Amino acid sequence: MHETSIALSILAAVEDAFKETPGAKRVTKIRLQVGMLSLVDPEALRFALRVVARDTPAQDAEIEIEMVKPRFRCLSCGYEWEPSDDDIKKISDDPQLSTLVHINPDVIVSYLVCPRCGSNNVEIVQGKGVIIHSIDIEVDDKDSSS
Amino acid sequence: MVEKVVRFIGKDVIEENRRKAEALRRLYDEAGVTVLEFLGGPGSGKTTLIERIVERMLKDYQVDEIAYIGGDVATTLDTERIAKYGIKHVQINTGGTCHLEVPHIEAAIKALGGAEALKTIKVMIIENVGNIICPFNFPLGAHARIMVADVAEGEDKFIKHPLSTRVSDIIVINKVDLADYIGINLEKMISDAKKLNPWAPIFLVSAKTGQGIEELYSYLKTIIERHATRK
Repeated sequence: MHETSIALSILAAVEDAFKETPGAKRVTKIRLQVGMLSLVDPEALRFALRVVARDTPAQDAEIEIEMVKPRFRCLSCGYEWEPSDDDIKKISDDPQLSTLVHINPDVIVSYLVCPRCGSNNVEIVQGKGVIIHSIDIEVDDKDSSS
Repeated sequence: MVEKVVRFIGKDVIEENRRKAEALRRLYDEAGVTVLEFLGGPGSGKTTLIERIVERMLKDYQVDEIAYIGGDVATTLDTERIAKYGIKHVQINTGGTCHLEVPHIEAAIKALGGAEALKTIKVMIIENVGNIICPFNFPLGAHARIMVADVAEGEDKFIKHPLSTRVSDIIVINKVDLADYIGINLEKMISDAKKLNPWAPIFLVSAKTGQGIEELYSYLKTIIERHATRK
C-alpha cells in the first residue's frame, strides 16, 4: 500500500544528497531498510522507485532492500525479544490488525505482552519505518577536487 | 577519473511524513486556525454536507474567516459549489493521486496567501479526495477528522473499513432519510462504529433535508471555540 508515495519521498531525499555532492554524476546504488512492521511490500516499492526515478540521476541505480525484523523491549523488566516468523505471519494474515499496523506500527504494542514477566508495557526497538540507509554516487574526480 | 562515494542518509521516510503533518498542525496552531478535515467515499455527500455546515457557519463567523480546500483527482466542480458562499477557496487537483498529502496542503496555504493570511482565518475546511481508505492513512494535521459514510453505501461500511473508522474523531452517517427505503438497519451501523471507535461521537444527518445538521454544527463549533480560547 502507498509504495508510490514512499518511493517519491525516497527519491526526493536521494536527489537532495546527489545535489549536495560535488562532481556527482549518477547514483549507482540505493540501500533501503524496510521495517517488517511497516508492512511495505518490497517488490512493489522497488517497482515504484524504478518508475519514479526515470529520467533522474538515480534511474539506473541498483536498489538494495534489507528487511528489518521487529524487536521489542519490555519497559517493566527490560527483556528484549524478536517475534518468531509464526508470530509475524499471524499479524500479516489478519486483515484488520495488518492494516492497523501498516498505518501506525505503534499499535502493535497493545497486542503484546512480555514473554518473561507478562507486562503489557512494551515498546518497539526496531522494525518500523522505511529508512534510506545510504546511497553510492559516482563522482568525477576533477570536479570534486576543484 | 571517476570514483564512487558513499553518502549515508539514515532518514526514515515514513516518520518524515508524520513529522510533516505535525509541522502543519503547529502552523495551524500558531495562526489560530481550526482545521476540520472531511473524509469519505465518493458520493457519500461530503460536499453537500460542507455546504450545509458553511451556510450555518456564516451565521456565526465572517465570510473571510472561513476557508475551504478541496481535493479531487480532476475538475473544480466541488470548489465551484463552495465558492458561491464567497468564502476563501482553493482547489487541488491531485492528477491521479488518491489522497491529499502534506505538500498539497502547503501549496494550498500558499495560494490562500501564506502563513500571514492564515492568521485572519478562523476555520479551514479540507475536503479530501473521495476515497474511504487511503486519505485516512495520510494525516494532514487537522484538529478533527470527520468520517462521512452514507447509508446507501451499505450497513457494513464501518466493519469493512475498521482503520478508517478508528482513526476518525467524528463519525457522520449521512442520507439517513433514505435508510427506511433501502432497508438499512441504522442501529447496526451505529453499534458497529461504536465497537470500533468508542471515542468518536456519531451524528445521524441528512445533508439534503437538513436533519441533524444543527447538532453536528454545534459540536464542530465547540471544537472551534475551544481551540480559539486556548490560543
